[in-house]
Amino acid sequence: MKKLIALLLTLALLLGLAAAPAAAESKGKILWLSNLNSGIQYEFYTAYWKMICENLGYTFEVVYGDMSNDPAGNLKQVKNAYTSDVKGIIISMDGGVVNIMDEYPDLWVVGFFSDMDSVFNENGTSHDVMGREKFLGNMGDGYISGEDLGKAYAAEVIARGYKKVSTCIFPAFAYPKHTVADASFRAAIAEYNATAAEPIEIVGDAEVLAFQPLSDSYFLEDGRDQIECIVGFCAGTTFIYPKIIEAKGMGFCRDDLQLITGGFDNDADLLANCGDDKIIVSLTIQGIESTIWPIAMLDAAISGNMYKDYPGPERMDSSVFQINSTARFDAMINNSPMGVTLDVSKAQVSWDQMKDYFTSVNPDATYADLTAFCQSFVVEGYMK
Amino acid sequence: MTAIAQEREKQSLLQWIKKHGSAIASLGGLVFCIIFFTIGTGMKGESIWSGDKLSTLIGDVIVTALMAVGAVFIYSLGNMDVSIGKQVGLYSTLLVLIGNATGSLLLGILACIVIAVIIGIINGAAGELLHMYSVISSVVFMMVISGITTIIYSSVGSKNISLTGIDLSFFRSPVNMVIVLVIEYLVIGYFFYFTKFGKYARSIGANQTAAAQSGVNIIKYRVIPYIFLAFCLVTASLFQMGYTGAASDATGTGFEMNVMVSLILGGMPLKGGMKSRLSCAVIGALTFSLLAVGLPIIGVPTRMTFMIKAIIFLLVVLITCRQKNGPLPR
Repeated sequence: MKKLIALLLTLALLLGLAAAPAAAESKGKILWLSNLNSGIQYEFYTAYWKMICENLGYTFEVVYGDMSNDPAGNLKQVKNAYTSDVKGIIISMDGGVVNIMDEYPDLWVVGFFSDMDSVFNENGTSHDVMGREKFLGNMGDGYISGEDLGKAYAAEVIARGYKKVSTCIFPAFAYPKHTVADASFRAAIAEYNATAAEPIEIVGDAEVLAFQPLSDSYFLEDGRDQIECIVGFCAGTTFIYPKIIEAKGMGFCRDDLQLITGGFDNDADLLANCGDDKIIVSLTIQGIESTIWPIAMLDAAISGNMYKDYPGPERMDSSVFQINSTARFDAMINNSPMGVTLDVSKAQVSWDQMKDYFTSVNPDATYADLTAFCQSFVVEGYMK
Repeated sequence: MTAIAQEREKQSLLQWIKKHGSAIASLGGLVFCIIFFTIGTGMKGESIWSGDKLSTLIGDVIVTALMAVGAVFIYSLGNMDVSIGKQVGLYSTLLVLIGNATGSLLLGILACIVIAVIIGIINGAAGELLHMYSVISSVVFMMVISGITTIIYSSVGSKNISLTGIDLSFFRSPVNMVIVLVIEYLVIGYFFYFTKFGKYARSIGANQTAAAQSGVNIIKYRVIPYIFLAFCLVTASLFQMGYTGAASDATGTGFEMNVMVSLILGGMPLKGGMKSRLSCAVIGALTFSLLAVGLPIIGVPTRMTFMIKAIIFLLVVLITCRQKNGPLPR
C-alpha cells in the first residue's frame, strides 16, 4: 500500500509539472549561467533581468554553474537547461565558455560579473573565444584591474588614518586579481609612507584563505592582536567578518578592529555592524544597475540591430558602489533595491529610463552611450 | 488446470514479483521516465529524442555510468569508495598535463592506470588488514588526492588547464560513448556474473564469515574488485577530460555521490550481497540523467529540478530499500 501511495505521489508530481501551462510566445529565452544561487544580489539580478526581459519580449532563466567553475560542470549545466528557444546566455563563470560556444555555435554569449581571465588573457584556456562573432564582451564585477582595487582600498586605509593593517586574499591560482590587488595596495601604502610623518604598518604577508574562514589562531600570531583594520580582497563578509566577531568576544583582537572588504548582504545582524564606527567600515560591490549592459548587448545581437559603434568584444569595469560611510550604508539599506527585503522598484533606473539604450527600442542607440550609462551608477544615486 | 495448480502458479508469480521487486521498481522507474518525458517534452514542442538532446543525455550519463559499472563490484562487497570523484579529478588532470608534455594520451593513461591500481589495492586490502571499515581508507585517499590536486593547480597557477594538440573527437562522439559503455558493461558483466571474482565478491557482501569459512581468500577477493574499479575510473576520466579537453581543480567533485545516487536509483542493495546487479549502474545513471535533462525541457525551473530529483530519490529509496526488519538497510 505504501509503495502504491509513493508511486501515485510521484505520478501526480510529474503529471502536474507536465500540465503546467506553456510560456507565452516570446522572442526567445535568455539564460544566465550564474555564480550565485542565493543572497540579495542574486535576487536583485534575477528580478531585474526578468523585468527587463519581459519588457523586451524574452523569457529568462537561471542556470546554476558548477560551484567550482569546472568547465565540464558548467557545460553540463548549460546543456541540461538548453532548449531550442534559447538565443543568448549571460556568463558569470568563465570555466568552459569555449566548450559552450563550440556546442552551441548560434548562441550569443556575453560575460558579466566575472573577470573572464581565461578568455581575455592570451594564454587563457578559453582565449579562442575572442575571435568569435557570437562573443559580445564582458563587464566585470566592479574593477577588472586588481591594481585599481588595491589603490581604492589603500586610499580608504589612508583616509581613515589606520596605522596597523593586514590583508587577506584568496589563492592566486583561483583569484590572480587578489594577488595583484594586494601588491598594488602595498605599493600605494609604501608610497604614502615615504612622506608620511607616521607610516602605516602592514602586518605580515597577505593571509591566503583557501576558501575557508580566517583561522581561529590568526590573531594569536605576533603583532596581529593590535591590528586596527583588516583589508579583505576576498569575500570578507563571509570569510573574515564572523571571525572578527568571535575574536572580539574572546578578547583576541582590538575592540575597535574594523574591516574593509567587498560583497554585500542584507542580513540584519551584519547590516547592524556596518558604518563609520562599526566593524565593517567599507564595502565595495558592483553597481547593481550595471546589469542592464549584458541584456542590452544580447538584445542588440539577437534582434539583428547591433550597435553601429560596437568595436568588438572588450572587457571593462562595471560601475562600482563604494559603501564607506554611515550615510551610504543607510542609503543602501533604506533606499536601494537591496535593503532588508528586495524591492526592484527602488532601482536607480526604471524600464522607461533605460529603454532608449536598447537598439530594438531605439535603433539610434549607441554602444558608447550604453557603456557609459552602465558605468555611471554610484551609491549617491540612492541618496537623492 | 486444477484450482490447486492455478493457486500455485499465482503464488509463484507473486513470489517472483516479491523476489524481483527492487529490479522491477527501478526498471519501472526508468520506463516511466522515458514515457513521461517523451510525452511531456512533446507537449512543449521539444523532443528528448532529438539528436541534440540525445547527445546531451548520453554525454550526461556516460561518466557516471562508466564509474557506476565498476562501483557495482565494490558495492556488492558491501563497501563504498568515496575517493572516486577525487580520483577522476586527479586522472583527468594528469591526462592533460602528461598529454601536453608528451603530445600523446598513452603515457598519461598508463600512469593513471598504475596509480589507480595502487590506490585500489590499498583501498581493498586496508580494511581487512587493519580491521577497519573499508570506507575509511577511501576517505583518507579522498583527502590526500584533494591535497595533491590543490598543489598541482597552485604550481600551474590556474584553476583550469586544457589539453592542446591532441584530437579528442573520439571522446565527444555519443556513438563512441555508447560503444565504450557497452564494452565495459560486457567485460565487467562477464567477470561479475561468470567468474569466481564476481561470485566471491557477492558472497563476501552477503556473509563474509560464511565466505571465509568456505575457503574464500577474503583479502584477495576484496582487492580484485577495486582493481576492476581502477580501470573503470581511468576510462571514465578519459571521457570526463575528453568532453571539454580540460580539467580543473574541481573536476570530479561530488562524483562519488552521483554514483551512489545512481546505484540506489537503479535498485542496488547498499549492503551488497547476492542481490547485487550490474544493471543497477546503467538503469540508475540513465534515470538520473533523464531527470536532469528532461525536467528543464518540460519547463521546470533549474532550481526546482534539484528538489524534484531529491523527492524522487527519496521515494525510490522508500520503495526499493525498505526492509521488513528495519526501516532501511544498515
